[in-house]
Amino acid sequence: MSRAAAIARGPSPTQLRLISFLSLLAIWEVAALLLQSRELPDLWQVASKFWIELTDGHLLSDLGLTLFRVFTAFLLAMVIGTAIGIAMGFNRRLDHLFDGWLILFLNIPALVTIILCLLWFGINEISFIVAVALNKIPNVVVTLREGARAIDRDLLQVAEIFRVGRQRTFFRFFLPQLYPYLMAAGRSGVALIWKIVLVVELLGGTSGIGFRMNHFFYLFEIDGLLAYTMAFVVVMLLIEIAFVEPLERRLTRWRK
Amino acid sequence: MTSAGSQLSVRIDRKAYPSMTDEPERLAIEGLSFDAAAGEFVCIVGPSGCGKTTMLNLVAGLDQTAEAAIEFGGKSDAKASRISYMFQTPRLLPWATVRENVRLVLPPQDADRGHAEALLEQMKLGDRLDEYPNRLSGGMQRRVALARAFVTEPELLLLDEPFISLDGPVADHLRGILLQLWRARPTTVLFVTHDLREAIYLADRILFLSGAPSRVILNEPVPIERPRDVEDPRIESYRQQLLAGNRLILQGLNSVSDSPVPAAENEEQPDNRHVRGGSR
Repeated sequence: MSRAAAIARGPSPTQLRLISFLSLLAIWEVAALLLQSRELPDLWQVASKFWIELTDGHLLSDLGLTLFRVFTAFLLAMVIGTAIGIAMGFNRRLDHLFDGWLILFLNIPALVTIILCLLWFGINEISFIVAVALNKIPNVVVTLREGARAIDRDLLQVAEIFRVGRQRTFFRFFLPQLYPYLMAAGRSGVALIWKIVLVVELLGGTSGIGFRMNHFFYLFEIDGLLAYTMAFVVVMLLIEIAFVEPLERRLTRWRK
Repeated sequence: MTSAGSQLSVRIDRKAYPSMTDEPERLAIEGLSFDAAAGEFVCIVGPSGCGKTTMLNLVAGLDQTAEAAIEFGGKSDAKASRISYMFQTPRLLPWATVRENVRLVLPPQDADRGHAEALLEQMKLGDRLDEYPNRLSGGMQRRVALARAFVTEPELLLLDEPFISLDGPVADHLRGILLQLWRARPTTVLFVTHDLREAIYLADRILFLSGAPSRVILNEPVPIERPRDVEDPRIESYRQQLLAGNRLILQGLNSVSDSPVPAAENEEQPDNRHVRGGSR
């Protein structure tokens, strides 16, 4: 491609993303310089705090613990929510029976579930993970129920006629029809879950990013707060780029 | 895995669809019975919505809610025989390649023997093995579906208007391939269609069904020797002869529409639309 053509076509999507991200940082930096206030530290303050926390603080262990909680709760919520969603999507009686429960659980505030779990099961790792998963399961159920209702039974008939067996029917004829729904539930799932994990840690934790946030809040250390946030957001971004997007590309390859 | 098909005996006393609301249940089939000899190619012709698909689903064992006795090779359980079914639409898995679509219906121990690839090669799809179905034309998708239907070397092959939405020449080409495959791998065939010309070209014998509740109203062997040519004038003359001799009972067929039927005779035609909806 010639240089002129490249200019005529404008920046690529990757370049656009980068430009947009850098301009966000620029706005922050300018605002911080203009305000000159302790409440909005500038980039360099946050970066140096980040470096101190990374080399001399708890950042790595807190980050690791929080990530562990996020992914355990995520897996638990996806597996249980998918199973319930498929069952409700396929069985009308089951759907009628539990639809009310579903609406109830969808509307219980996350905070209530968390406090109840901490009170009932005590302050421990299992209680944290259960509290987070419980908040996410109803959303997964709703999405996957929709997916199960949209299943193309014509394709299942093909599996039946050729007697391909239960396992192959499930993994090759049934589950791929749910991929778009699983991806949708998964994407919104991670985003929701890591926010809830922070709340759990803030309320009952003795470790993790949420606990450290609480600590910074009392000490009025906004640079620490932002440094931790940045660390977490960057990790999640990397996971998205290195894991989620390639997986999605692979699963939707046939659409092209 | 070789077979020349088996003898098929179909006796459907009664098949009804329960009603959704207060209306009475809809009777789709009543007193429909016929036999097919081992290796015979039988076409089943009937007006739209007469319950042809319903009947095939009963024979296939996909639907077991009828008062019926269906025996194939002396066995009454459809699961005990190798049955293939080619549907109105190709019903390929969009997320599986051409090769995978055909291999998926083989038992795992047979999948790697190259049967699928050989068959696809023979059907001139050898250079499309790793493409996804949505990249193929409608005709090519049907060829993949045909390969899938034959790769298991079925004892009984059911086809439900498989070429209906294709252009004339493409459909003719596929009919030729079907006959070629059937000659090379003999099997008992039930081919449902509402196109009489197609039926005459393909079949050893044609069964005509009435409108719902459907039963067999005419059972005619095709008196044209094989191999046949699509353009063979005897196909058209036999069609005219059939229509002229059985005008009243065949009036529901689409292909009759080019030989006008007096309006008065049309009044007797039953309304089949409800049954059609139920048989999907």
